[in-house]
Amino acid sequence: MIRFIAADLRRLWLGAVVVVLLVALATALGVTVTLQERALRLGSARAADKFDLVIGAAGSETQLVLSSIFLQPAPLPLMPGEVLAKLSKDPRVAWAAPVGFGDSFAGYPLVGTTRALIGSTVSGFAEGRMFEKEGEAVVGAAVKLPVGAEVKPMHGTAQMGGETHAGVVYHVTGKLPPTGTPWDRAILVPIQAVWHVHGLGHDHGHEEEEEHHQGEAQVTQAAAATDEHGHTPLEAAREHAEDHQHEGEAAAAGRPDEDHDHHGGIDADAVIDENFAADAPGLPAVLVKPKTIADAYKLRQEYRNGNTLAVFPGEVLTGLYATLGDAKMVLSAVAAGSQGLVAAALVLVTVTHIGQRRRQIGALRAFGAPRLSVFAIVWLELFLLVALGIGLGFLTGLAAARLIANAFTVKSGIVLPVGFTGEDLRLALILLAASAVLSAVPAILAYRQSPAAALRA
Amino acid sequence: MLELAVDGLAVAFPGLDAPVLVVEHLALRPSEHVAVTGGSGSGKSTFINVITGLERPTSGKVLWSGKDITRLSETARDRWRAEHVGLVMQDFHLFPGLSAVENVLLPARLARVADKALIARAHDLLNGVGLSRPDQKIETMSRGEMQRVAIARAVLRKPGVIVADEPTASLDVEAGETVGRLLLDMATETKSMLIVVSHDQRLIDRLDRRITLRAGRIVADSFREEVAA
Amino acid sequence: MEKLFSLGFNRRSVLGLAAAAPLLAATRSAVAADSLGFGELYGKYSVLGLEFSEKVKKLAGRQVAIRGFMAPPLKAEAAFFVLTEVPMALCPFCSSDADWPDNIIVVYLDEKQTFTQPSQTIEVRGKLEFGSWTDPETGFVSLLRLRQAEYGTV
Repeated sequence: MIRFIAADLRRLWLGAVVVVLLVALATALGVTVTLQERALRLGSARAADKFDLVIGAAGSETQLVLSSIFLQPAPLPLMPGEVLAKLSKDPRVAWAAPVGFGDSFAGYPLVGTTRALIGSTVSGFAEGRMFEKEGEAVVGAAVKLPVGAEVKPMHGTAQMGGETHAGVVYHVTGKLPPTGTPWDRAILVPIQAVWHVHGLGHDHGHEEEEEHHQGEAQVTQAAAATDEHGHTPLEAAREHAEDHQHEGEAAAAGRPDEDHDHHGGIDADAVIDENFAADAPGLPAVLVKPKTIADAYKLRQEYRNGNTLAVFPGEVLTGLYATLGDAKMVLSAVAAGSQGLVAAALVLVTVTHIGQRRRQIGALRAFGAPRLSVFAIVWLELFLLVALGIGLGFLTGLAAARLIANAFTVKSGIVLPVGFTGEDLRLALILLAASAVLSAVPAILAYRQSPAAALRA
Repeated sequence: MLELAVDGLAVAFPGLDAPVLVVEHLALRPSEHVAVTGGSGSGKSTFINVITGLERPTSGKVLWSGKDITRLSETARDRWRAEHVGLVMQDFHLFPGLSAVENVLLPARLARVADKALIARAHDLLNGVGLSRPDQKIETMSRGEMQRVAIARAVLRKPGVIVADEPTASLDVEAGETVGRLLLDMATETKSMLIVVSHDQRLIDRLDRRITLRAGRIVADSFREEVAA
Repeated sequence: MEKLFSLGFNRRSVLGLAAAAPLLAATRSAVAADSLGFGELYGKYSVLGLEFSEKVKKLAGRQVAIRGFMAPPLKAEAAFFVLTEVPMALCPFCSSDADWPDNIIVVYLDEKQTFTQPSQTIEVRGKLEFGSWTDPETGFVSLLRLRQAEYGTV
């Protein structure tokens, strides 16, 4: 019987291939939508998993989470620095870390933060060590910069026509292990440095600084490196300006007047101070790790007043999942529509096909093939094709979802976990059962005529 | 060994005034070689279909060695036919994609009765009908060769009756000659009854008995003169 | 086929089924589950703060059913959520100055999952557990929990 079916399918191979491909494509469409939606949901959930509570200035919850957790570049309103000081002292808080953004380098966002945040969200370093000084930086796993590389931040992004901060250079001291989050693509620097670069925090004399830019280019890079602590920020800025010239990247440094005049510089060797006082500069967001679940909810409640906004990334994502679910419904409806068309086409094809095979079926019966054998032949032939199509569709869907997920990961740093779950197994079984029933229709039709009538046809 | 008794048989189709076949009484002896002749629409095919159980008559009995196959269910008739009837048809009804021997064995395999002995017999039969390549694909064969495969298939399970419907009509003279001879040889060898519907005078002449149908009725039933004489 | 397919892909109906299934399961075990109200969780305020009620102590380790609201999820994908007596908008955490509010309970499920919008009343069944415990995965401390819980809308 298997030989018979095989011979039959070989004879009708073109039709068989078309049926398999149609079923595979229709299945793949639905599977891709399901897998992709789930992957986006779980991937974003896992990317936000390390961060429990975000506190920012009053504004959009979604924007706050997208900017501070998913590092999407967008201007956030600032809240007073005293919020951070208050949170740092709060007994319900395990740690509170400010984040500051706005700069980028080679397409990677620069995020100013604290050692506490890095230390408590990733375990150890893949390479190198934590930043210890203001001019040092730590890079995420997906940042293609080696330890020791220089980072010259640019205000905004290159696409937005950002300008290089004159005289600001960070040295990469460590690389973090992969986390599957957008932070893998981030360059992490001390928040203090971000403040200083943007002329916040401590007093900087901009005029004075500009004068130093004009200063003589005598100090070499080596000399700068061996300098001891205790430089004034101004001196550090001058040295870095000279570095630029040495490296032929003198555009910014050579024409210091074009520098954003509200910008300051950093003192590369300054010790990092992470005990934030109430007079700390304004902040876009603070990430908070509460001690207990009750603390988490209490803090959320407490900081949801007129001036600040406290939100769990989880609740914002859950809200987004509802939208994602709706989008998936629409796509699923499209997929289901195409599957419906394929199913209808399949029924049409098989019924016609059975009509053409009446003689063959009649002959089989005339020569004494038992009813069950005839039924099994017709049923198996169709079912095998559809089952093969469904199997192929699931694999194609998986492959497509993987491709999309990989492209997404490269762009965003968020790792999307694409994979089948028990739910998919159930769907596959339902599909197979349905196609088993569908395949039985022509098999039953095949027997609804006397063999003599079938032979005459 | 089977014998046939037909009693009060009538086949009518709705919408037609006259029945297409009426046979009051007919008896065929075991191992008898019978030709059924008649013009187009004389009821030959209906007669064959009814006595092989491919079609159910409107009324009457078809008794094969005392068993009335008209009373059997469709499935039971299919099973009975598989066991007792060897069919050879004008356009062969062989299955492309399968080899000669696979075609011979197909009905037996589908009925799950193909054992080693039967497989050996299939090869012997193909040899016997003059085909030396049992693994040749059926679609690469000539029409005469195809009909020989069909004969091997018909006699595989040593049926009590071999029924051939115009076995030589689509063949050239030479191939028809071979097929006719093979049919007779095989029927003699297995001591089967042989019923041949044919226009082929040379084939008819070699059979013992000739039944002529016209407008659904037997109008002549004669034994071959040489034998009768 | 297409009908079944779309049914399979219809998120709402699947979720509906998924939500109904545990309820059915819960209905079956209804005899075994004692119902517990938020008002019955704590006995008296002592100098040490809240003290668990006799009922909680008696039911610890047993299957209980409790109704409430799912608070906005602290984690998008988690094996736990917070059940509150009143919807979050009504400020369940404002009422008490205690370290652990008297109208919340942490619900642990068997598997990690993402959640849908919390707005409906739900009934949760699970094994009652009290006392301070630190979740090794999230580092969160909780005082009152339901373990191996199932939930469904009411």
